[in-house]
Amino acid sequence: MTDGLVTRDLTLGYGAKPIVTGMDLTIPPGRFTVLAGPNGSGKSTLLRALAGTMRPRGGQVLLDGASVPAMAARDLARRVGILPQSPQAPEGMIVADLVRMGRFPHRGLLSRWSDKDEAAVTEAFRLTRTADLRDQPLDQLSGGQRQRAWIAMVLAQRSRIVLLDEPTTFLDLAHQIEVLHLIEDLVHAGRTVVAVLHDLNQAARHADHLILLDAGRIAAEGAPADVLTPQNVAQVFGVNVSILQDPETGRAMCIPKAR
Amino acid sequence: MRVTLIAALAMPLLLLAALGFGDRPIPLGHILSALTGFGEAPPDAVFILNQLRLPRALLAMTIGAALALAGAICQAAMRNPLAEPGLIGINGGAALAALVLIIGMPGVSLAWLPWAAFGGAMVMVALIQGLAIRVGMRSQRIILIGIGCGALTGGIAGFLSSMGDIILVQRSMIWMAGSLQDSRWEKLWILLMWMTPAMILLMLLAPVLDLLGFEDPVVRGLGVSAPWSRAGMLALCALIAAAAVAATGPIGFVGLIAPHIARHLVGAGHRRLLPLSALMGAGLLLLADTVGRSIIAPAQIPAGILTALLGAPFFGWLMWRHRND
Repeated sequence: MTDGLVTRDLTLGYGAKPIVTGMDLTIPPGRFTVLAGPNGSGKSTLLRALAGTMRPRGGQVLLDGASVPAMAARDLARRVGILPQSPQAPEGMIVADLVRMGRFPHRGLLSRWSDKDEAAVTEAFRLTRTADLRDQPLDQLSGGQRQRAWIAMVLAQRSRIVLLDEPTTFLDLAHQIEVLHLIEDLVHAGRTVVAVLHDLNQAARHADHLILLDAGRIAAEGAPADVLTPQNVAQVFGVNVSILQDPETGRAMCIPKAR
Repeated sequence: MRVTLIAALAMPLLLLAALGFGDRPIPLGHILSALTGFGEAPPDAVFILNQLRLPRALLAMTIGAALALAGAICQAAMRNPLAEPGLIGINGGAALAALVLIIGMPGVSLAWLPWAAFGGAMVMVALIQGLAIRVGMRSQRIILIGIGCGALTGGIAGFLSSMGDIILVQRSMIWMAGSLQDSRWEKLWILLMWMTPAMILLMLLAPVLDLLGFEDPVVRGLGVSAPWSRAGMLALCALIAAAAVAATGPIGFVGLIAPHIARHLVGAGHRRLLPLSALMGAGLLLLADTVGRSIIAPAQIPAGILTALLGAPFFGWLMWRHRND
């Protein structure tokens, strides 16, 4: 038995065409894993399969050795939280109500709001620094605040594994950095985070584990420094890059070559 | 909470108005003595109150509440503020079944009418849902499928009424206008016995309705299968709305307006929204029926016609408000 999320010979697809084929993957527990790759390489599809919201066409998705598609949706939601790309809340919903929704998989129809629920919500507010926003309607928040509120909802689920689909897209630089730091804090606190990111340098700087996807297959995976090579980037993105050392962190970073 | 309390306190006043107004106005003193048994009320007033106006007013409130709750469920399950029970086939199915019974089987007693209408509505809803669940219960698909099925039943209904005996057609038209004229205690009891468990179940399921306000991936991420729970909620909506329509014929717009007003007052959380919607629906239909049978008395305007006359401009306003969405 392997801990955490694992896929074996996983094939995924919507119509006739497979999007992910024969994928063997292990998500390292307690680490920040980034899925990167060109548009259409299968990142979001893979994330959905890991969260159990999409049924595999072939192969397996396992959580602590048990089959994810066979798991009850509610049990799964207590162990794996997912934030889809640019989610929409009902009109007029306030932040506190959104975050409380994260407790849904933990509550019965007749159960009252418990101390445990309250503690989870308070912790989610604290981690995302959204406590001040609790009474505000979501549609009146800035993009960064809104994204933090949504992440707070997923955190209130208290799942050990958190999956984020493009959590930084449509955010300005300051808010992107804010979200990435939040992810680092979560990982320090012992959670496993998997996120789809578009910015390779952000991935290299913050990720513990980088997975490069190309046309539904793993092109390279491992520590960012090992994955981010001119050969890999050229092969996956078709862009020639130079690899430099990030003066701030000493990690790898890439810049496209001049024409 | 305060709004709901005020709305609840307004109900007895509306009820007293409904008992007093009409073809033969009854003064407040007589109403109170007839209801409480203290003092003297003329026997004809007591008869009108106990056998005609009281069951009719209570039935109007029950049906209004039922239509409003069905509307609130529909709007939540379909994530569409313009949704109402008619969209999922309730009225079309009930109307067709009523026509078949009235025109197609002239020998059958009209006592079967509510049962036939209920059956017709449920068959129609099952058909639309059955087709919609294959495409993931998306609001737009349900509406498109509903329009398709509605056109089909409308066509059959049109065929039946153009071929049928003119007196029977007239009778079915009256039923289809949605009227509370045939209100009896027995109808009220049956409806209440049906509605009470449905309403309790609904209050228990309020958090699920809140959850269904999100898109499917979020719903699923929180551990609930979105298509199936949407379908389940619409089935509950159908059970409530079909019973209401069976009792009176189709009454439009209460299911659309009442939850809207309520949402405007207490927000989108269903624990607060559902009770206030029910009160709003009860009040609206009671008001519509009282006005309908008072303004040109002794002639009566069916409540369904009055709600449509009021509802159409409201619908237009709603569309205008959402024009930028």
